[in-house]
Amino acid sequence: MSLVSDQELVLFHYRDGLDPARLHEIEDALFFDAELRLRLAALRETLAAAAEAWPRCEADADFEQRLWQRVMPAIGAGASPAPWHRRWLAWIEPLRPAPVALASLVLAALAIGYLLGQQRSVDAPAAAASLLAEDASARVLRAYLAAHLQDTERAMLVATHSPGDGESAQQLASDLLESNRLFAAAAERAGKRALGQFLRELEPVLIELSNEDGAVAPALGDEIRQRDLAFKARAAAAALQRREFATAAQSL
Amino acid sequence: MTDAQAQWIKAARRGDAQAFRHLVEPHARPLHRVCQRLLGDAASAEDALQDALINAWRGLERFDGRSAFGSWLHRIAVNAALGQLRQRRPETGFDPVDEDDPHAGFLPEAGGDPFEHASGHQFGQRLADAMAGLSHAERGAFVLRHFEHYPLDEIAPALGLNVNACKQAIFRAVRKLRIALAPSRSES
Repeated sequence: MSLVSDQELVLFHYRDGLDPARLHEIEDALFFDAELRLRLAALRETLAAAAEAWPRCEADADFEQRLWQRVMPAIGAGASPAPWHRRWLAWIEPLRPAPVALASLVLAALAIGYLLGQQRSVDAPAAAASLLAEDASARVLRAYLAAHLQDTERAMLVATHSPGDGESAQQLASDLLESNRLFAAAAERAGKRALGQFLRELEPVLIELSNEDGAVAPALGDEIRQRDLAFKARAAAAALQRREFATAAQSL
Repeated sequence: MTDAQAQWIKAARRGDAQAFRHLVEPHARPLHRVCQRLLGDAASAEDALQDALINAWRGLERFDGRSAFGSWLHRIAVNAALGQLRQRRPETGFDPVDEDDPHAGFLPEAGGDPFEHASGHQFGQRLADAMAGLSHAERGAFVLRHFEHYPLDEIAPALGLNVNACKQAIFRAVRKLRIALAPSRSES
């Protein structure tokens, strides 16, 4: 009898909720244990059968009209979401940082941190300032990048698990494409070659996804699965978040 | 975020309901599907989506652009659907899952895969019965993990559970589905 429980097998299937060491142990056990492989295959068949048969009730043709007939009265008349201070300060709206400008700010912060870092050996106070600048800019970049990778993972998972729902994947991917390029450039400039390379690897997939119309092409779904891109994106986001957590813990 | 989307958001934040509609309309059907998976019927899904859109309108100021707008909206819709799920019938105490053997649940059937055990109407009915037997936490956790690909550490707070309870909920949902889809084994 295998020492891998059913619950662990479910968590292994989703690659979630097990620590990396246990994941490796189960991978090894699957290699040697034929019964365990059969159990995993049976689990996957169950999940596939359940997903296949899960009721799909497409909204009818009048759905949008009905929905907005109900929503508009609730949000329309005199229910502005804008608080008084936003309306009063509407004149500074053009100064709101757009995502591209924000990413540029992050890049600038990285550059400042780098330049300050060059003077480290010359001047002790400047060294402290450089460390702070480097740390702050890197933390901002890590937080944004982790969120970006999570969204990218979600787009790829929609593409692979719900290929008929191409519109969702298309919308997500087109939102992510531009920021992916900026993050790749930022990572390369910061000397994070592996991360930059991975982000560059995601770019053609995001381009293809953002060009999909209605349904995701099976070949694209296969490619995402074969190269394990969704899992890699999740792992990269988790690594960034762990590093952020460790940095925050050190600063306490 | 596209430039057009940013413009719609800006206008909606100033109180332009039509701009909000333009912004949200492309997401309405996919969001309805999510709510329907969680709640099981189209009418409840529509109610949940209505709540979600009103909540999104009221909370538009809090959207900071760190995630895609669609992802932000998705979470609001999931929360609205979960809110409805919690207001439903009280949970029953009946639980057909045998917890004695933690390793036996996914042994393959002698007769083949779950598709072969039941088909057509019979299969759909068994699954419908199994889903009706899922607790709110089991259904919510399973749908969010399996269909919506949420990680456990996001599902748990959304359902008001700790991560271990969330793992248990998914596991129990899967086992109930397994039993429903493989009647020969559970009857033997």
